Amino acid sequence: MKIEGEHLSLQSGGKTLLDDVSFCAEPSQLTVIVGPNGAGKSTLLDVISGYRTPDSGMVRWNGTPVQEMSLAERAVRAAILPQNSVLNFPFTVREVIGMGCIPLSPASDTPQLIDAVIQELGLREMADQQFTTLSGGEQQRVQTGRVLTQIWNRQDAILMLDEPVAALDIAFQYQVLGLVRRFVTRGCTGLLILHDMNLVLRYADQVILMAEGSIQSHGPAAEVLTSALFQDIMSVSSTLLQTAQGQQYLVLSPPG
Amino acid sequence: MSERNVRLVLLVGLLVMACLVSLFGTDPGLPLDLSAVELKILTEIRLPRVCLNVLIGGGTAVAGAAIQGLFRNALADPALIGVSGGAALFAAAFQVLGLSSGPLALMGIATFAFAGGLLTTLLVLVVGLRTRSISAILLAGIAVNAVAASGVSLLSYVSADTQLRSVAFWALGSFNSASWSGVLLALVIPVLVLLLYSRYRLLNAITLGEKEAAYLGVDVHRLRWWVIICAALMIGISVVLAGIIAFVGLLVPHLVRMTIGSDHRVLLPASAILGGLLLVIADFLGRLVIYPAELPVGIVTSLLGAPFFLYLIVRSRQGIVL
Repeated sequence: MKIEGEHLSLQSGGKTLLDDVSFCAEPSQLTVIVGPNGAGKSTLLDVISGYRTPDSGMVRWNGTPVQEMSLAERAVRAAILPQNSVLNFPFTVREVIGMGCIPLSPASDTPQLIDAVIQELGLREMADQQFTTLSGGEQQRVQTGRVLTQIWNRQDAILMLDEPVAALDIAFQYQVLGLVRRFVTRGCTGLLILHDMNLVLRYADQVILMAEGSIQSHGPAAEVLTSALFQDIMSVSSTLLQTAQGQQYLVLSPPG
Repeated sequence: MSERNVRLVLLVGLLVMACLVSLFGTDPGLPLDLSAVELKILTEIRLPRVCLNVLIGGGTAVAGAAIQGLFRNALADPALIGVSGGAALFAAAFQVLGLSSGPLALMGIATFAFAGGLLTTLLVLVVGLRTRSISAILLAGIAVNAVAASGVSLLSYVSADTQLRSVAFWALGSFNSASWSGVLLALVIPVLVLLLYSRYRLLNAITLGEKEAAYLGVDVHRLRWWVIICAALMIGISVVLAGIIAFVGLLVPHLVRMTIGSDHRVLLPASAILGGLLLVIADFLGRLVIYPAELPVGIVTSLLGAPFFLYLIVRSRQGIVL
């Protein structure tokens, strides 16, 4: 599903959160939003998802204005995980994953679906444990699994995750992003916020660089991440290295 | 049968046993040869009383579970939406300020208290809903409750001795005036419980967060109204029939989450059963301990519930969540 944002602006409490943001995210592409803290990345996700209405501008999913779709219509089309989701009640892992079935038709809400998600995210041993007893990284994997459940069997869905690997160890960072990649490959539109630029380089098709509520640059990962603008905004110097096997790495260091 | 279902069936069994003990006393053999007077006591006094215990205990506990889910806060008490404090305040005002002989007399104290409870909840909602945040409702509820509680205290301070007892009835809770007409009114409670139960998946979703629930397709705003109105009606009816009964709405959902689970599909029915069970026991004890006098049931639930709650906090390493 194609996502288009046209001239999105949003102010709150006298502060400009988004300033005339326009962009397009294509199906079968993983678009990653990067930028310093407070750049407006999460706010942009809130607006794209339809949770917040911009003061001006329009968001369209496959041509349909998102504000004209009901919450239920959006929920079957998009899996969205906000930053720092907190759940304080002792649900079991299986029950939390099962909540991803809420927007689905009763026919597709099956134990098999939940089992598949649990298996894929490596949650099998903790499936019947209480969510509140898990570590931060384990909780994040469960929450990611929960939203993936929503679109598990769809080919053309939207997948928006706000820092989905922030609390994960390295192996699970690759596992979760590899899983996201598979959803994108089969036709989903991926839109992620990430802070680890080497993960961005490895997984992103397109990178959107944001600062001060507007898009500064939008293009292929290797280009954006080595641009002078990126180095200036993020206050780093970045150099691209390539191994003999052709794998690219970004070396980031303080300026000067 | 799953372990959960076994525990549910066990709870139902305990509830039935408690009802029988409360009805027939502690005699080992069931008294089959009742005199006419005894039969009348059984059918006209004890039976409606036990029925009210079950309905009101169950309703209060379900209201507590739903309110805690809605506020995503296991410390939330159904009293926080203001209905019980408001009802008690209006009932006390009705008596102490002599409204019972004025133009409002026709309404009757129960109707007046019920209307007062709903009005107070409405006040909490209007203040709380001015912001998007659910915690604003919680804070508004705490403030409005404090006003109502001090109002009741003020009224009991200025009231005559005879009025004082009646004010105490509302503030402490009692099943002394249980009757079949009361049971008839309380039958609205199971209907409201079923209405809440029909939204159990939405209640599960809201515990994830307001944004997270919206992304699951849940209209959070509508769910908020739905839960608060159902809870306010249940608590309002309960307060009108038996005064404020402390602690059941807070304690019971906790117990169920720790022993049976958090999924509202089981949490709500299990809370209903356990809430009924606890109130049957508390009311029975209240009638027993200072026989032939009676201890107000609200005192018993607090006296028993609070220490037990402390025990649970000490015992569980991670079970209690704030």
